Amino acid sequence: MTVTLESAPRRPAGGYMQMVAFNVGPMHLALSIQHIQEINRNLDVVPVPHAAPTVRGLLNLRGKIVSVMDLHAILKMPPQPPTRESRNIIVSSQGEAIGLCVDRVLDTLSVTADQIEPPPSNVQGIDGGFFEGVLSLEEDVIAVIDLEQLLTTP
Amino acid sequence: MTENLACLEDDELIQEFAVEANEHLADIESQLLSIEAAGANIDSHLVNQVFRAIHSIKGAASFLGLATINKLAHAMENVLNHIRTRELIPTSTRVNVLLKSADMLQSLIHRIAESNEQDVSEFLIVLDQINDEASGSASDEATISDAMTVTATSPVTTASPDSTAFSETAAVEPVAQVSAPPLLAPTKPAASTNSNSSAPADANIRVAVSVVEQLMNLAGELVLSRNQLLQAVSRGDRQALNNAAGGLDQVTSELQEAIMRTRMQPVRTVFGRFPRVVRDLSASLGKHVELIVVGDDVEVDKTIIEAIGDPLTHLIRNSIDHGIETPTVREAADKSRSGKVRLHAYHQAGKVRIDVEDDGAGINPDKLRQKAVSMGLMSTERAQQLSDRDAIRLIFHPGLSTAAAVTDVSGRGVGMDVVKTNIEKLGGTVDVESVLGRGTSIRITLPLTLAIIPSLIVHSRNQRFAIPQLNIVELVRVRPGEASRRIVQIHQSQVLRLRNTLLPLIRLDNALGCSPTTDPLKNDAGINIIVVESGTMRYGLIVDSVHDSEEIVVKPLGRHVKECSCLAGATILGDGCVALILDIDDIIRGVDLRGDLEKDLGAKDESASTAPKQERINVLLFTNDPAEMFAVPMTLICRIERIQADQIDSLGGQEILQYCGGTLPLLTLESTLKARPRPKTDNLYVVVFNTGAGEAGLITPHLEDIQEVPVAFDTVTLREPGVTGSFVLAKKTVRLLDLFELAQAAYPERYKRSMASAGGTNHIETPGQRPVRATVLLAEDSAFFQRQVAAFLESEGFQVKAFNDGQQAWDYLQEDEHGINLVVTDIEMPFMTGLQLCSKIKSHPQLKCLPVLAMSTLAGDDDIRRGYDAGVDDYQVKMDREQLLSSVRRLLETISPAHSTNSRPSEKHREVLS
Repeated sequence: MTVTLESAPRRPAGGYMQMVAFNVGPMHLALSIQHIQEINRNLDVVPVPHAAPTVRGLLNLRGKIVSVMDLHAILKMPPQPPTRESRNIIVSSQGEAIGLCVDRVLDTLSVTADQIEPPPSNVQGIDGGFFEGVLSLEEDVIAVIDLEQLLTTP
Repeated sequence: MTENLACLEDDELIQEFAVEANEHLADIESQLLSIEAAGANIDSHLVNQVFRAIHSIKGAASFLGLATINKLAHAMENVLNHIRTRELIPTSTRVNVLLKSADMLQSLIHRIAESNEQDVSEFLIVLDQINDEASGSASDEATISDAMTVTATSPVTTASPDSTAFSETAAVEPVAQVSAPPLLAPTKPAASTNSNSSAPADANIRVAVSVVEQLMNLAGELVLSRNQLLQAVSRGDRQALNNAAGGLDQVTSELQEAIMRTRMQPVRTVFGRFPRVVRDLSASLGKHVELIVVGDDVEVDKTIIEAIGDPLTHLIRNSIDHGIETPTVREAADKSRSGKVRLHAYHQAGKVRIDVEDDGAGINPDKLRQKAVSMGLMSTERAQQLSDRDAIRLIFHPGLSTAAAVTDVSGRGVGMDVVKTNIEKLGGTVDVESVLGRGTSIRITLPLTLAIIPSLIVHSRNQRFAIPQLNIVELVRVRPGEASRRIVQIHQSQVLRLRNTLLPLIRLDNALGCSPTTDPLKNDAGINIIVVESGTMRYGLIVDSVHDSEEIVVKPLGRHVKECSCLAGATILGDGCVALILDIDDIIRGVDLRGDLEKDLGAKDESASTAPKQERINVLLFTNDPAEMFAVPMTLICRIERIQADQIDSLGGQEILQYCGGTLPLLTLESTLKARPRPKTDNLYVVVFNTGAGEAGLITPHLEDIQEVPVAFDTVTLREPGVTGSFVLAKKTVRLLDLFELAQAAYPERYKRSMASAGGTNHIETPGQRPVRATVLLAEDSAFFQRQVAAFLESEGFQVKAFNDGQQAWDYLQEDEHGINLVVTDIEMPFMTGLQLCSKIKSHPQLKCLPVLAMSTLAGDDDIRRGYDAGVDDYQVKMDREQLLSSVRRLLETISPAHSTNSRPSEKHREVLS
């Protein structure tokens, strides 16, 4: 992955959206920074019995209990144990802090709305309903996550 | 109107108005009551306060274009003005009108956006009439009352203090809604003070300025401590680090305390509504009751304040309705005419105590004992053994109400059991003390806050869990090597022998859906069992290890895990790790469900050949000689004891066992049946059952299993006294025993006598006539059970009419009066179920007095509840002959002519259960 701030075309700051790009399995994904509260390495979660397979477990985030979701399971990819590069992206959805466990955080991107194309019905074999759109940057295709859709999927 | 709408859009102003108006109205109720109490001796200062409150509401409402509120406030203001100028005397009638208008005003403010569409003309007319009285000073009270009866279009007469309005609202919604104005019926009154969701103001907490200042101070201290700490760390100064940590520790504790104080509110906010409740209720019941409130400044967590309102209201209503007697009765009992209800809040041992005491009639423990027995909750002996104190505590049992009859005020819907559950949900306890004729005192103990609960931390599947202490009865450790002796394996389930009772065990890792790694019973390294309780059920929870007890702070769970079964929440332990809080009720429910599922699955492969919808019963399988298998229905077994062969005494040809300070007659199969003798072993089991004339035990050397078997027994081939029939299980013939016949065959003298004495009551006495034999209609689709139950009943001297389903029975009942005295029905039947049959009988004009006894192989709480909902008078488990017969006798007694038209006992059960 070679996407950097520099590689994105420079435009006046007003029209830009900031995105964080990351990997889940083989996929390049991005999420608008306005949803993101923080990114940390706090990966020790407590598993929850009887919970859906998409829930990795619970995390103590400075006194708040945060559910951490398994993006592999949501996107129906084979499970993968956390590595040294794994990160927890804490997002805020409907007023609740939720953790998304990703394999690697790549970079932040500044993109304009017209760079995002509507998603095809499936992106690299994954249901297009999870994505707001697709960002084509030089050699890479990055799928922009629809956070609410992702988190409401059981 | 457009102008109004424009104003309504100005949301912020409106919200502010609502908050302010609520503040004004908050005290109005008690102030009006004081005004009423003062009567002609008008306290102008107090009246002025009320007047000003209403006046400012009126002003703001007119400014905001809230025409309806404005009009109502204006009319109230006029009346208050006349009172202020002493042109009107605040009689209870007039104050009543003002109180109801204030209620209306409050509910208008609650639903402020719709307030302009509400109709308050009834209030306006009545208020104007009072005004007119003041101007034309000659008028008297009577004219108002008359006028009001005419003008009020609803059947409710607002003015008369003993109007039915209160009792009606109370009956429908027994929770503190007395204050809801009955005139407002069509708009579904939003209960003024106690609803905590609708009002925008309720989401706020009022905090004393001093507390906020303290918080600011502490926050400053915290910043200071942080700076010290950072400095110490950067310098690497160990001493300074210690100092900084010490400072931080202290500031944090103080801060925590101060923040907790912001959540604290005086109980006055709840107690404040009771003067009105007491006033209205006592008036409607024609009783004189004085409410004494002590300690209303005691502070409790906001969440608790919100939750205790309803239970307390119920208790107070109970005290007035059942406790305090009418003035005449009180005078006869040498008491003052007016009763006292005392509400007392105080701190005790780090908890909050609230006592509700009355000096009324008290609770009669004997009545409760009788009722418990008649409901089949316990045997007569057990009831007699209860101390008076424990008997009085029976009022907390579901289904028992102390009211002799259901009244409008209490005994309906919400029972004391609900009060108890609600308070226990808050982590509190309730107890009751009562002296007959002197009064009752209910003591509630509540924690100061709900946010912190004491819990036990346990370890299972390499994870820590918290179990609320509330659910824990005791901890049991089975030492290494003792497991095989103390834990009995009955089929798939394990049972712990604990002080003569058998306690079903649940493995926590299993319950949490995780396949067990090692079986603690196998490696025998000692087992930790936590005895937990949920409702009346007790279970033993097997955990890997027990840590410490800790006070934990309950943290809410996110939406993805909120719905997970078995979890009540999560907490953060001292070391920063997350621990899940277990929901014991849920775990127990889950085990029950799974148990049923297993049974269903097990049943499927066995019964594939037989009819799919066949009734099944649980039987205990055991052998005498290893080659011969016997079965006993589980419902008949009281318990199973393990004994040594040398504990058995032989006296006069009878084998008996000394135990629990008495003797237990023993039966051996070979002496009463055609059975091979048991092999000589030291370890024996005694299956203890109740014969109706005391307990007896059946000796068996080996327990095989507990199985659910279809009710398809061969009642011919192997029939002999003591054996009802036989069935084939896993290619083996099993004989099903009739324990009563067995006992009779073994001890003919002893049991015959008791049968004869019991048989004497099975006639119905009709005045002036000779006793006739009671006829019982029996509806039962299983031929086996039909024959069994019919035989029970006939042997007791009843006439039995048996039918194969509900429809046949109903057709027969409808044809004519057949002189049926009692209906005994199965629940699950083709064409018409027992419950349908029961509903039909209970809604039939002539037949509705006919008692109905339902019997079933299933008797979960839900089933029983459904039964009572359908109007069943009693509910019994099939095959339990003694219970069934005593219930039949009891029901026949209740319908003896003197009682037949009175309220059926079920009436009450249903009310309380529903």
